[in-house]
Order: sequence, then structure tokens, then C-alpha cells
Amino acid sequence: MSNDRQTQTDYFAPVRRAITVILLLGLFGLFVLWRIDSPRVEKFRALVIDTFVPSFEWMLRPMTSVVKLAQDYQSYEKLLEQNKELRRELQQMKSWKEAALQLEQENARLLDLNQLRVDSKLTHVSGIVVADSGSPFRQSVLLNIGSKDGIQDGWAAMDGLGLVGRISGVGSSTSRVILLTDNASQIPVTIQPSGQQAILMGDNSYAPPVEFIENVDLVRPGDRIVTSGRGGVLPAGLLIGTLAFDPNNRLRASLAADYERLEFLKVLRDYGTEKIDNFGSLVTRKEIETGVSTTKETSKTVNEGSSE
Amino acid sequence: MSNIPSERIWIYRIVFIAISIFLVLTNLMPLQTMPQIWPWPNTLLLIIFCWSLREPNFVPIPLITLVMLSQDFLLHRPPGLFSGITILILVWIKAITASTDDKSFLAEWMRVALAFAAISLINHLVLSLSLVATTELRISLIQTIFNISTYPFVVLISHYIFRVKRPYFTRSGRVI
Repeated sequence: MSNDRQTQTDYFAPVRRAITVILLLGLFGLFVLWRIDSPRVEKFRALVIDTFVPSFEWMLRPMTSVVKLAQDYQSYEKLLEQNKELRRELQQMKSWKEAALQLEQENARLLDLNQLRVDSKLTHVSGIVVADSGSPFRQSVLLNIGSKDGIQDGWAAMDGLGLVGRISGVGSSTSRVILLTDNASQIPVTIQPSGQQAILMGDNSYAPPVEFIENVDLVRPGDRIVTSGRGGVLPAGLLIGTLAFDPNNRLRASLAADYERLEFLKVLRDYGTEKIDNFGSLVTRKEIETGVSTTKETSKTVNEGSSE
Repeated sequence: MSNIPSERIWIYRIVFIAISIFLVLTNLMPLQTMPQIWPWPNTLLLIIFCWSLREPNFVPIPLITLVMLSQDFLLHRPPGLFSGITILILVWIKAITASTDDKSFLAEWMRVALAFAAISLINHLVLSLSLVATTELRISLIQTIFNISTYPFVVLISHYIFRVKRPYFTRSGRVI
């Protein structure tokens, strides 16, 4: 490189080299800063995403729908097969619906007997999934609701069926949901009916493993996994999925939420200061059965949401 | 100073920014919310290497820094690390390319392959040394293999569609 200066045009070479070095130092410095003071840099990241994604939504949305259209077209070929399967499932669902209705009535009666006032804070905000993490290394989605809508870090995000993840990173009009499948996701769970405590550790696979079960003999495949609410991060009793063995005889969760199609998520408001007792967990579990609301709206109470 | 008119350089810089925005949007499209087994090649990385080794004026280091850093933020990577390693390796590869006489594509491909492997390995190493929760090495290795195997296609597309052609290095290692 010392003979650079032989060429006439290279007066700028040292400047360029200096700029490169400064930029490199800046980049590595930023990484070190992120490692030391992660929250501040992550706040900045939320700000970047918050300005970038909404301003390109006009492009992102049509692109997404075009690709989805193509995907839908592919699935037409399997229509007959799907139809049969859906009919079969519908039959099963009907019987479940009957059971659910009966339970709901019974529950309402019992709540009435107890003179229980439903906590007004146990409501939800629904958001549309506008983007995913964009890399195969992280599992997260971006919602179009943010601190403007009162979203806070740590709240639970669910689809119509079960827990999807929790909020991590809130911008003014966007918020990121770390999915249960992400490497960084570790959720304290309870396995029903045995009531064993365990931890659901995301490992970038579709079915996250369930680790640290107190007594493995007491659980069996098919058991329901719900959040335990320990650590005060998530409300207790949110449905996660069912327990299953993988080919290596490791216990994993088969997630209830439909990860193939995350389009709308509801974020549960949970100010988390008071401990949610048994009644609270009962009520939150009920909320799982509500359908996905398509508009950005806040239902006033849980009862209202589940009355469909 | 350069053989290429400066309007053309600026057009290419804008094209590069447009491509990077398009790529990040395609990445961000909420189509794949399931964990993927086969990661896509990192097309932006391929374009950066391909163009830098042909027309470095189109992708000056500050522009690369800006684009890569914004991708670090948008794609939820640890900010600064991946872009820093990429630029470091890129500068190194540019210096190697400038100092050898072997201008064949095969040699370039070998060097680039080495660069991609180095980037993902160093990235993984630094992340695990600084105790950041990393994904298994497997995914980044698969991605590296995809990167290496798709590099010739990116070169072809750059050559025939974007008209970014042949290395421009002089013997002294600087670009004119």
C-alpha cells in the first residue's frame, strides 16, 4: 500500500483510510455500547424501526399480499383434501363449542354468586402483524401498535388460540413481539393437570422444548401447558399448547397458536403490579377462547370479548 | 478523476440504496413466522462484495456502513457487530485482490468464499465470547454455503442487468 502515492489521483487515499478506520471503530464501539447499555441502544432500535417500517408500509403491504396471493393459489390444489379435513375438525369443534357454552354459563353463574368484579385492566389491544424479524436467527414479529396505544414492554401477545410471545421493544406506533420460538424466549409454565412447574425455552425450532420439569414422571404427552405467571412477567393461565415427545424422547410444546399465519395478535393489558390470584387466572384463561378481532379496538371487559 | 462520470456513480449509489431497501422489505415481509430450516442467502452481502470488487466507487465504505448498520437495526441483529466485521473483511479482501495478479473469476470466488466463512465464524465467535444468546452455528453455516454458491449468480446479474463489470484495480491497489 506504500506505493499508493505513486499514482497521481490518490491524494484522498489516506483520508479514505482514516474514514474507514473511524467508521470501524464506531461500529465496534456501538456493539460494545449495546453490550454494556443494552436498553438504551434497544430503545434507539425501536425508534429506527418505528420510523422506517411505517414509512415503507405502502410498499410492504402490497408486496406481502401479492406473495400471499401466490401462496393461496398454490393451496387451491389441495382444496378438496383440506375441505374434508376441515369438516372433520368442525364436527369435533361443534361438540367442544357446546361444552364451552355450558361452561361459560356455569362460570357466569359462579362469578355472579361470588359478586366478583372483573378487573377492568384485563383487556386487550389488537394489532396487525406488519413485519417479521427478517432474519432466520431471530423469531419475532412487528405489530402496528405501540406506546401510542398504551403498549408496554413485557405484555403478553396472543392470537385467537394461544400465547404467541411477549412484547419486547416498543416504539410510538410499532412494537416487537418476541415469539415463544425465539432463542431468547424463556417462559415459566405450568403443566396441567399435574401442576408441574417448568420452563419453556425457545430454540429456533417450531416446537420449543420444555425444560426443568420438577418431576418428569408426573407429566405425559397431551398435557396442557399454560403460563404459570411466576416471575411476574406474564399473567398466569394463558394457554401455550400441549406437551409432546420429539423423536429423541425430549419433551416439547406443540404450540396452540397458529404460527403459520400470524396476522392479527391481541396484546393483553397487564399492569402486573398486583398478583393475579386464582380468580384472575381463571378469567384470563377464558379470554383465550375469544375470537380474533380484526380491528384495532379495545374491548372493555373480558366478558364482552367472550360473549360471541 | 475517475473514468466513470460522476452522475453515473451517483445513480449507482442510489440504485444500491434502493436495492438494499427492497431487500430489507422482502426480509421483513411477515410471511415466515415459523422458524426456518433453510435460511435465504444474505443477498445484500453478496451485492456489496460483488460491486466492491468491480466498481468500489459505487459502494464507498461510508455508504456500506450506513446501509449495513441500518440493516443491523432493522433485522434485529446486535448493532454494529456484523457490519463492522463485514467491512473489515471487505477491506482486507479488496487489499488482497489488489495485490494479486490473478484476476480470474475462480480466484475471486475463492477469496469471497473465504471472506463469507470468516465473517460468519468471527461473528459467531464474538457473539459467544461476549455471552450474547446465539443461534446454533448450523444456521449461519448453511447460510454461508448458500452465500458462496449464489455468488456467481449475483455476479452474472450485476454484469448483465446492472452493468457492473470487471475489476478496476490497478497494480498499486487503488482505484482510479
